[in-house]
Amino acid sequence: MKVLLNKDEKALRVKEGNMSENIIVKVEDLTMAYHDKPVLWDNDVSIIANSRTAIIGPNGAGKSTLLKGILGLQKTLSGTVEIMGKSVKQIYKKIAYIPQSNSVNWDFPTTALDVVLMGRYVHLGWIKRPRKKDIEIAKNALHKMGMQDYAKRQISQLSGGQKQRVFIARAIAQNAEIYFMDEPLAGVDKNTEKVIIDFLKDSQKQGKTSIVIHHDLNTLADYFDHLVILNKRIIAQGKMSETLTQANLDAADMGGGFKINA
Amino acid sequence: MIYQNLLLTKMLDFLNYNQQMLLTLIVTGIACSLLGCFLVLNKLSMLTDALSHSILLGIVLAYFVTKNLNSPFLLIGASVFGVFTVYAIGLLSKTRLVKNDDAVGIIFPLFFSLAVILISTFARNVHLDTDIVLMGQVIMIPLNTMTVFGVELPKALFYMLIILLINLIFVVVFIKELKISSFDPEFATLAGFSSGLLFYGLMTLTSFTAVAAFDAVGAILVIALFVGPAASAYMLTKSLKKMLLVSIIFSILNSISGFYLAIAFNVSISGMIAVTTGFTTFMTVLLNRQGIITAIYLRHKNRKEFRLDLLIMHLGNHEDQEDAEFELGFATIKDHLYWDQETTERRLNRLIDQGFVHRNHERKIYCLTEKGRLRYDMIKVDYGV
Amino acid sequence: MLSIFLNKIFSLNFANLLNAIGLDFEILSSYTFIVVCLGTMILATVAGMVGTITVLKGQSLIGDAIGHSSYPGIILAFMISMSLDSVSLMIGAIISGTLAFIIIQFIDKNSKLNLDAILATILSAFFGLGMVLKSFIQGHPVYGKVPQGGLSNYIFGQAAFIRTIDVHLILIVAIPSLLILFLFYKEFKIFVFDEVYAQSIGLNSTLMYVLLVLITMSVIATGLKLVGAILISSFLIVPGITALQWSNRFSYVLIIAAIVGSFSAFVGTYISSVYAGMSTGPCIIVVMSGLAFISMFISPKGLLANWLRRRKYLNDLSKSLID
Repeated sequence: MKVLLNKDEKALRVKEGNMSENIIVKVEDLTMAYHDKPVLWDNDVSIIANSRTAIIGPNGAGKSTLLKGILGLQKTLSGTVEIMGKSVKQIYKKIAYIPQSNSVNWDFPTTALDVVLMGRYVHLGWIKRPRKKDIEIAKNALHKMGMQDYAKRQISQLSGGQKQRVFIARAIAQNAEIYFMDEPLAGVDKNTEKVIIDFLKDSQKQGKTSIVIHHDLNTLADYFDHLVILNKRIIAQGKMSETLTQANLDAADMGGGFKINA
Repeated sequence: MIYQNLLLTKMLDFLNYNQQMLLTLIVTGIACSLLGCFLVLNKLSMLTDALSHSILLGIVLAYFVTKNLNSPFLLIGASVFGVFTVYAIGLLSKTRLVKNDDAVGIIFPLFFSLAVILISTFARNVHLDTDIVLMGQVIMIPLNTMTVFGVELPKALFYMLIILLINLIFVVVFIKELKISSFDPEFATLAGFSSGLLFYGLMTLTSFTAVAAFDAVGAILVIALFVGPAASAYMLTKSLKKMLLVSIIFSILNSISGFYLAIAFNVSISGMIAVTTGFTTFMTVLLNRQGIITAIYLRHKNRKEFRLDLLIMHLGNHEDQEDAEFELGFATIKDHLYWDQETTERRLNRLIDQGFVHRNHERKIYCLTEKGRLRYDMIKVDYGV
Repeated sequence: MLSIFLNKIFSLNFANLLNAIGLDFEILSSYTFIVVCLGTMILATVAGMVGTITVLKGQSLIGDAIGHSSYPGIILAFMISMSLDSVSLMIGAIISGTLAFIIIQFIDKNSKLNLDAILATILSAFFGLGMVLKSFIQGHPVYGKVPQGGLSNYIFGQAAFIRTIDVHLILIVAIPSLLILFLFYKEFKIFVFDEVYAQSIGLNSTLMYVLLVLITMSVIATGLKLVGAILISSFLIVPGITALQWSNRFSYVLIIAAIVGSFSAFVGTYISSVYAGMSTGPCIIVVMSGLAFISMFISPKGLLANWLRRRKYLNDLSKSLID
């Protein structure tokens, strides 16, 4: 009974938020398990449209699982996901997912430009070939990431940061509305980090939304304006200034060694 | 004996026979390597091993139904069974009770065993020759002919041409989808391309190709034709289209060389092609751009260059200092580098030839030229000093 | 007099007992059956135990590749020794299997090829070489004169051709192999579980690999005559896979694998002796695989238990979500 009441409260809060801001990704009661062990418990998440939202949490908190659950890449036990009021299957063209860089086969015989061009496949559908226009778009996307000189390189010959930029260029070529990124800044050089953050800020100006798993608490407030704190359950979510508190970090077992500068 | 007599009576056409066999082998090889590229890229190479063994059970089962070894349903039945094998392996590894490799290793010996038992107990009139199952009967290809549009050509060649055409259409039409689903399956799913559909499409064609090739070249060469050329091309190319092209070239070369070697030594043709395929793959391992021999050569070259860089560093570091006369003196420089006279001079001369260093006869020392200074600055950046 | 009489009674009863449960005493007591059965059972026991380590190391398909690859060694050994002597053929098999293993490891270290592509290529190249050599000696003026009918048996195996000397050979390989496994039990356990840790506590993992490869190779080489080059890998991995369904403890898994191996060998050999024309190797493998599938279904970790557990879990979960 008590839990039920809490749920109503939560729903009420979400509703209140809804009045002032537009929710673009709405997750309700999401529970996910891996090998029958629960990873995410009954989570409600609301991502505000046109925000730069970071997802943080300790190791094993289920951050990647949450993204995969939202995107329908991993089975869910319960819960619903709505993106722009529709299911993922209906809206997939407007979503770009940038996975952790270790999840693809880097020895695959393909060039950087080729990978970026794959972003256009989303709009092409089955059988249709990429046209000149698509190649132009892909080249522009590479250029935006400062990677135009590497277009013909085989992807295994790129550095970690360059690989990450190619993947972001692929998302640009896809011309999506929402970017989901799984730790895009892990193991990249300072320069790439700046390029990626500039890209996030730039796309916000163009009305786009990004949802990024982040691991560095020091840069959190500079890079993002909204925050979701996760540790199997949602600890807190909302505007950065209101959510990034010592109490919330402690509640997520992330407070150790890090102090919020007032 | 009958075969040998047939061979003798058609001895006059022997050259023609050779060409027919070789053509069939080449067509089979190309049909296999087109699909083989995607099998290698998807880490499915050992599935061809499982397929080529377990379709024997498919052939036996289909034979029980059709009671006719020449029925086209035999081909279809065996192919469907091949797809079933892949499905069974997938199902077994999906239970997470066994790893994928274990699933492959448990399913195909079982199916192969069942086939051997069934043949030896219920179909003893169907002569099971181990050599034919494993190595096919390449020599028989020209003897088994059919007439298509008024042209008489070997049956195996006709079947393989059709299979080649189907595979070619499949790869050309779906190259974009095949590429994306083997490079980044998650992205493919998100982008609306079902990897499962593509996977079973690929496996169905692989199974059909294996069954059609099985009769002519046997279970073992099928594996080599699928995997070998694709593996070699994988090491050499940086785009998918080139990989497909290079694998076809490898396949043709392997077939031709294996065929003529086998003819020269009067040995098993399909066995020899399997050997040449393995040989070219091994040579590619040694000689490709990241190969071991190339690596040794590059290491040697790098070491040479590193020594020259070291020399430039030494000159750059000491040129403007008081001890330059000792450190860089014509006669004394070797002592500071701990190299012998001859090596020192050889290396310095090389740098002088390249225009990095000149002899300063006033101070009796070696000095960097303008170009050498630039190189010195670059080395400092490169090595991070 | 009395003892003979007693013996007769006993053997009669025993025979009746066996007949009653559907076993043919005549076959069971025949000399050929006993020799063949002893051979396959000992082989399957050792192979099952050694193979368990291969399965746990995630290298189950390497056994398949090496099995195929040992075939050219048999033919080469025949060409050199000009006889079908079991010992020299076995040494040939070991040498060519080891060579294949070394090449596989070499390519794996020095190229970006995946292991499965390497295995497939080496397997077909080596076996192809075997077929090339075999066809070479078939029409050859020198080798053609030496009887070579037995060579084909090494592809599919023919347990019916097992002689006492082959059983001796199996014993000669089996006893040291089991001894090594027993003596280095602790080391193998750490090696299987965590190779990096094993190295950090001063265990020479190269030595462990060499030992493992040596044992595996000799088991494969002795098994070829019984089971054949194509199917020998099952003897190595199927008992291990079966045993892993029942226990997580290394020692139990080894024991269960040994039992599964020897039991399957007995049943398979018996079936192949009763029904003429059935090859022994395939029969044993069908029994083995049957046991494996049954285990996957009914064992505590199996499908049935998993399904029940999952249902209970989902029930509990939905309850806790509603509360």
